[in-house]
Amino acid sequence: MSGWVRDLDELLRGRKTQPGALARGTEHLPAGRFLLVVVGLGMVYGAFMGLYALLNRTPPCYEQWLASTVKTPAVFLLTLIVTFPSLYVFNALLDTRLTLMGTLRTISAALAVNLAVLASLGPITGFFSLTTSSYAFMKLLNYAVFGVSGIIGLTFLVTMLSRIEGGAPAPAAPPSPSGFDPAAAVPLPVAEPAEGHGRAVFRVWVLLYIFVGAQMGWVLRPFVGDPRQPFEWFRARDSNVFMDLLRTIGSIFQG
Amino acid sequence: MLTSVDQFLRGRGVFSPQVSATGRGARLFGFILLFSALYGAAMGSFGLCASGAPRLAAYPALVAAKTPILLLGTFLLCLPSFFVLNAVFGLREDFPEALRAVLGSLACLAVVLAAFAPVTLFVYLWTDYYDAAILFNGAVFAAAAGASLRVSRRYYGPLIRRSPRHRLLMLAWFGVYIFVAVQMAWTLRPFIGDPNPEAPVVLLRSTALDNAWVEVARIIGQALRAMGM
Repeated sequence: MSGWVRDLDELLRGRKTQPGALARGTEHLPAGRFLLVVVGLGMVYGAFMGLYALLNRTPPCYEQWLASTVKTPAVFLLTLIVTFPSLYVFNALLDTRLTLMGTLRTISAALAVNLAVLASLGPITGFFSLTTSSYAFMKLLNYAVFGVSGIIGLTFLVTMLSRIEGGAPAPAAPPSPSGFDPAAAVPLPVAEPAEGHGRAVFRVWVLLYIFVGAQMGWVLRPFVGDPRQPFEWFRARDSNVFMDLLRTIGSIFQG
Repeated sequence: MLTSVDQFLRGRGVFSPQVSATGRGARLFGFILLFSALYGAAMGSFGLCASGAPRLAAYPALVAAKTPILLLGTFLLCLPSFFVLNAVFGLREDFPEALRAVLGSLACLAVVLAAFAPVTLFVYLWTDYYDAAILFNGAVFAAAAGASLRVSRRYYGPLIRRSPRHRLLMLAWFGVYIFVAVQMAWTLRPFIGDPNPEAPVVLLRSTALDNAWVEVARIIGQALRAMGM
């Protein structure tokens, strides 16, 4: 198995994010590799999403397909660039053990999880893209897929951060016979003891990240591409993503 | 063959949830292919039963080929996200068992469908009303899906006792599977075959590029507007 697949697999299995592993530091999280994974898997999902432009336009709009493929990883990387400084500053203010590089490693691991979930839903999106003519439905489906994968990625991030934050004197968990404790590996909805106001600050940052990420997607639109409008790499500045979501939900019932 | 199916339905022998027998997955695949094709042949014989027109004789074979594609195609589309979600929820080690559980429930769906085949043929003999045939087949699929929950509970039970998160994953699987399967069925239609002399015999409707859920939303919207809301 090539290196990055193994790293992603170990990350998904939770081996890299066990409290014990995180208590020792974040050096075992290869940020560069995870960011490459983000780019690769983002392009995979973008390609599935862009299939809609190939079948619902005559002639097929290959530019839109290319645009979706390239812009999907861009949304995640640009959101990272915009929100990374504030996460680092929060961490420094709270005096957590995360250095600048440590913060980058942690968030790139969470992004890799986010993109793994997103790309794994790609075949379903691709199938609907090929068999659906309704633009509103495709937008809603993509909103839902990005939403679900984003929630999972962010839950992963918050769990990792709170483990790092509260991990200094990590009580030595009794190692399981295989040296791997599945219960401790679980990165998802585990109720960890709240670490005072630190957790609250992370939550505020998560809200900021969601807001920036959603709006970043809006700024870089179109991703699906309204078949009634000509192809453009970027649409003119107009409205915002939250209004569009509400309008789209309304329009799907209009018939 | 019959012994194998009997063991499967009772959860004994190689199909017992306690043993991890090799070759069980292959047999489950075999059940899905065979029994869903069997029901497909029955489902597609509506035109023959209703009108007896020889031009409709192709439908049983066409639908017998399409029904396994419906079940297994949907399965393949949903598989990547099921795997990644299991891994992300810390259940990667249990994935082979979870996979057998969802395969088992699909196989059960196919067996129950096949068991209903005689009933479907009987219904076809006393109605030639196309919409009634569609409705009846919808009910048969719903009943078979309900029955398949028994097998999924049998295989998922030990997993859920080990980690309650498996319950969430199981529900997610069924939710996503049904969401995709409805669209798959819509894309692959017709499954019954309109006996109307003007309706041509086709493998797929030419207007296939359409979305089942959009139709549902449109109908709900129309109903709400009709009620003055």
